[in-house]
Parts: sequence; C-alpha cells; structure tokens
Amino acid sequence: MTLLAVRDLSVAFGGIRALDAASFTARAGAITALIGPNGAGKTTLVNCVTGMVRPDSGSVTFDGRDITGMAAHRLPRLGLARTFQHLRVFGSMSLLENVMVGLHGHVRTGMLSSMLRLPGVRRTERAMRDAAMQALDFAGLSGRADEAAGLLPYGDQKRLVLARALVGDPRMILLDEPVAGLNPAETHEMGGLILALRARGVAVLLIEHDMSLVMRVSDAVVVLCSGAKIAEGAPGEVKRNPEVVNAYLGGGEEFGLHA
Amino acid sequence: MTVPGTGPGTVKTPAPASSGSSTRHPLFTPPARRFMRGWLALAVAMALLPLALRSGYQFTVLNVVAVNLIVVTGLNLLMGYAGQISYGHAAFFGMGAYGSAILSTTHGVDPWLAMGVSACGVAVAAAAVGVPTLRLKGNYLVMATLGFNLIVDVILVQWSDVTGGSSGFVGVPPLSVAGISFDTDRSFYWLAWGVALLLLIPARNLVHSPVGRALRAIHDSEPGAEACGVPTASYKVQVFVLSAVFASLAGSLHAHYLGIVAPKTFDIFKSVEFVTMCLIGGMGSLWGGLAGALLLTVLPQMLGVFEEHHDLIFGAILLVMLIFMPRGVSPWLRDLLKKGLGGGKRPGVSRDSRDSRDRGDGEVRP
Repeated sequence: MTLLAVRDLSVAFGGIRALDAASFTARAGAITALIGPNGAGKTTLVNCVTGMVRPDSGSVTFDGRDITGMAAHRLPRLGLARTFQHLRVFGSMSLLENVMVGLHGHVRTGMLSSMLRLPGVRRTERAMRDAAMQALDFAGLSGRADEAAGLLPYGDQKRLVLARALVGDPRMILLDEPVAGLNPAETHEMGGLILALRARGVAVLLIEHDMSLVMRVSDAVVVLCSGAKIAEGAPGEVKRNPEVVNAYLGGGEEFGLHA
Repeated sequence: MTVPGTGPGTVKTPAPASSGSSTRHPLFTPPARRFMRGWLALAVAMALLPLALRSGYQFTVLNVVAVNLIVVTGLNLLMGYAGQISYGHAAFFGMGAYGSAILSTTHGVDPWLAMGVSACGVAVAAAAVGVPTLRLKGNYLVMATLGFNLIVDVILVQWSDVTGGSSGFVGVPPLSVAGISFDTDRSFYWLAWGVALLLLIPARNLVHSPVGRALRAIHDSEPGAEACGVPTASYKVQVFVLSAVFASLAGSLHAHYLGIVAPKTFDIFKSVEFVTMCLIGGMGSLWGGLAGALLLTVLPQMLGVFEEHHDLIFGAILLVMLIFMPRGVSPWLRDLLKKGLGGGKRPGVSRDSRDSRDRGDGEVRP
C-alpha cells in the first residue's frame, strides 16, 4: 500500500531549479531510500514533504491525504515524523524532556489550561513521560533520561532524535542522513535501529549518502539527480542501472562507491 | 528519593501497575513541588517583613519591587523560556498604567474594572504587534520592539488632551476592596505582594507543563520544535501576549498606587531595565526574576548615598555580576548551594560522567 506519494514536485530558488517534476512513492511498512549526488535536490524534497518549503507545483499525499504545503507542526499528528541532518536537539533540556516534546502534536493542552493546572494537564504529563521512556528505551538511552541532551556525544544525539521522532507512534519517519558523521560501529548500530523501526511497522524514508547502509536496509531505492528522479527499484537493480552509475561517477566505472 | 548511581536498571523497569508515586521518574513533580516550598517560604517572609520595617520609604521600595516582579515574571516567560527578546515591555506597562488612569479618572470607571479592561486592550495590542514582529529573530526583534516602545512613548507625550502630556496624568484613584482602600504605602504593600505572589503560581504551572516544555524547545531550536508538532508561531504570539498582560496589570497597580503617571516611567530605558532584571536575576528561572527585580530596585536606592557617583558604581556592580555570574544570580546561587551540600547528590549531568563519555572528537560535528 502506498503511504507517501510525491507527484511532479517542482521548486525553484531564484533561477536554480532545485526540483524538476520529481515523483516517487513509498510503501507503508517499508524502508525507502532516497539517494543522489550532492545538489540532487534531496534536502529540498524532504523540506517540501515536511512543510518547510512550499513547492511551486506538484503535490504530496500522505496516507491518502493531500499534505502539500501543510504547516510542519501538523504532520506528526497525521503520523509523519522526521529527523534533521543537523539534529536540532533541544540542548538545554534532558533527554526525557526532548522526547516528551516529540509528543506535543498529540496532546491537547493550551496555555490557559496549563496555567490553571487543570487535572487533565497532570494526567497528560504522566502519559507523556511513560511513552517517552519507552522510546528512549528503544534507542538504548533510557539509562540517561535525565542527562542534559546538549552534553551528549554526537552519536547518542543521533539516536536521541530518532527516539523523539518515534515517540508519537508515527506511520512513517523521515530520516535525513541518520549516519552522517558516525563511525562504522555506530553506523552499524543505527542500521539495526532502522530495521527495528520497520519491524515495528513504521515506514522509513531514508535520505542517506552511505551506500553500504542503503544497500543493507532498503526495500526500495529512489535515485534523484538534478532535481528529477532517474531511477527507482530494488537496491540490486538500481545499483546496476547505467544512468545511476553515470550520475554518480560520470560514466564508465562500476557503481561500487564506498561500500 | 533517588539513590546516586542508580542507572538504567531502576528507571527502565516499566512497572505498569505498581504503586503510583514511588515509581515516578525523579525528574518530574519535584521541581514543581520545590517551587511551592520556596513560594510558601517567600509568602511567609513577606507577611512577616512589615514587622521589621520602620519607615514608609522602605515600604515604598518594596512596593516597587513587587510591581517590577510582576513585569519580570511575565517577561521571563517570554525571554527566559521561549527565548524571544522584547525591549518593548515598558510600553505595555505604560499602556496598563495610562489605561487604568484614564478610564478610572476621566471616565469614572471602577479601578478594578479599569485594570481588567486595560489588560484586555493590551492583550489585543500585543497580539497586533506580536504577529508580525515575532517572525523576526534576535537583533531584528529587539529593534522592532524598541521601535514599538518609542511610538507608544511619543503618543503618551503628544496626545496631551487625553494623557496629560509630558507632565503626566494626576489624580488616579486608589484601588479598594470592601471599603479598605490601598492608598498608603503600608496597605498597598499587601495588595502588591499579594498579586505578585499570586501571579507566580500560573507562571510556575505553565513552566512545568507540556506547553512550558514546548516553549523551551522553541528557545533551543525552532525548526526542531515545529517538527515535533509545536505550533511555534502561535505559541510565540501567545506567550508574548501573556507577558504583555502581566506588564499591563503591573502598570495598573503602579498607576493606582502612585496616583500619578508620567511618560518618562515608560520609555525605552524602562524596557532596558526590565530586560536587565531578567538577565541579572537569571533567565529561565522564576526565582531569578525575583532576584533581579529585588536587586535592581533596591540597589540604586542604597547607592543614593554616593550622590552623583551612584550611576557609575551601579554600572560597575552590574558589570562585575555579569562577569562572575554570566547566567544570573539565581543559577549562581543554586550552583553554590549544590557545591556547599557536597554536590553530586543527583545523578544528573556531572562533569566526570561527561568526560568519560567524551571520545575526544569534539561535541559537534559538521
């Protein structure tokens, strides 16, 4: 079943066409990788899907619902969560608090009811804390729940933002370069977490440069180049696609990359 | 409650049905409870303090502290928690004061009602100012709010038919409850501190709620908060309006207490003073607001003995404080107390545990 469908998405920044009628779909419960050389438009595509950039034309459908240009803060409630390449950890807050913020789209509290501390607020708070502890547990961080997130090593912060995205029980998580800057051991561990997400029934849209990880975990790969899709299919097929090889290496050689 | 060093084992165990309060995570509820203990102590102290005070002048200074505390409490929610800087809060303070003064004197409205109507008016004005300006960040937000304060200042001076112009507005009636009029320094002391203490409670409730956490998340990373489902634009406007209403209520108290309002009290320098109170006291701490309001109100009075040098000495003191307590008085005191009690009582973020995890490759990678 198609969960996310991107149709003919185009975005131009001034004279630069970042996306040129890009289209692809991602299935529910599967890991779909979005790859492409630097400047291919991956980040712009992610920003369009997550409401950070409004596309000039085209549409984004999630779970049968048109979410084109929808405000970013409404998406978690619909079941679409994300992480950032530049983490965006809430550095002054504890790990637990970071993950609890990840539930904000799901709670119904206003400023006034919070100030009056109506009983509902306290109940919500307790439920949020329990869910956040479970998500931290998934990321292997529950033992550090009350440490300050800003002091956490980079690799742990990467897992923290994963927990923050997962805590709202989304149908799909968009992971923007989850292993960039990680060492091989940490990369392997992150790969395991991504597979564990799929095992929980969460679909993953993986934007990543690390080809060995992409080949290891993906069910489908979409290749973007110069703002348009040039290939789509199973990892093995895409790897042998001559156009993809050409895009990455300028022609000729085998598409081996740094695997 | 927590034993030092209890790590994953104790926290991890889900214990779904086991006795409620004992399995609570150590991080939550205690801060709120700790706050209430401090609040009660402060309330008792302020109730007993009049026994030790001699002159009406001492009451006057403390009354000004209470009024400033109300403004700073609101401003702290905006600056210390949501991370949005406003150099325009003297304008809201002034609008509350003039609103109360004009309504109750010129139009004969009951002072309490005048106070409420002014606060509603200020809320609308703050929303109108906040929606466009809160899209701005950092220095631009500072400039926009400063500009707003200048405009309000000019209006207060120039619209002299209504406001009394630069010489001010006189004859504002005092507030009263059931025949008791708060028209003396002593009687107003109870009202001012009563309101200031009372308003600390909703502020504390907000801080210790999901919304308060979302505000801090906005402070740390706006895109991050937005992606977590926090409607950042709306929350920023809401907390801006809330802090403006606090300032308006303080302004109304100020007007009914002194019986006279003058535009000079509400110029940009007053805004700077409010921001300095937040900074010196400690942003992101409600007690910091108290420390800041107390220090910056009482200190200049005490320095009066130095006559023409008092500004110089006041500036030097502020400078020294910012150098040695960059996060403000309140966090500095807290650290000092923790150290004094032997430190490391909580398993939180100690330097040792951090060092052992640091693999020497820097904290932030590109």
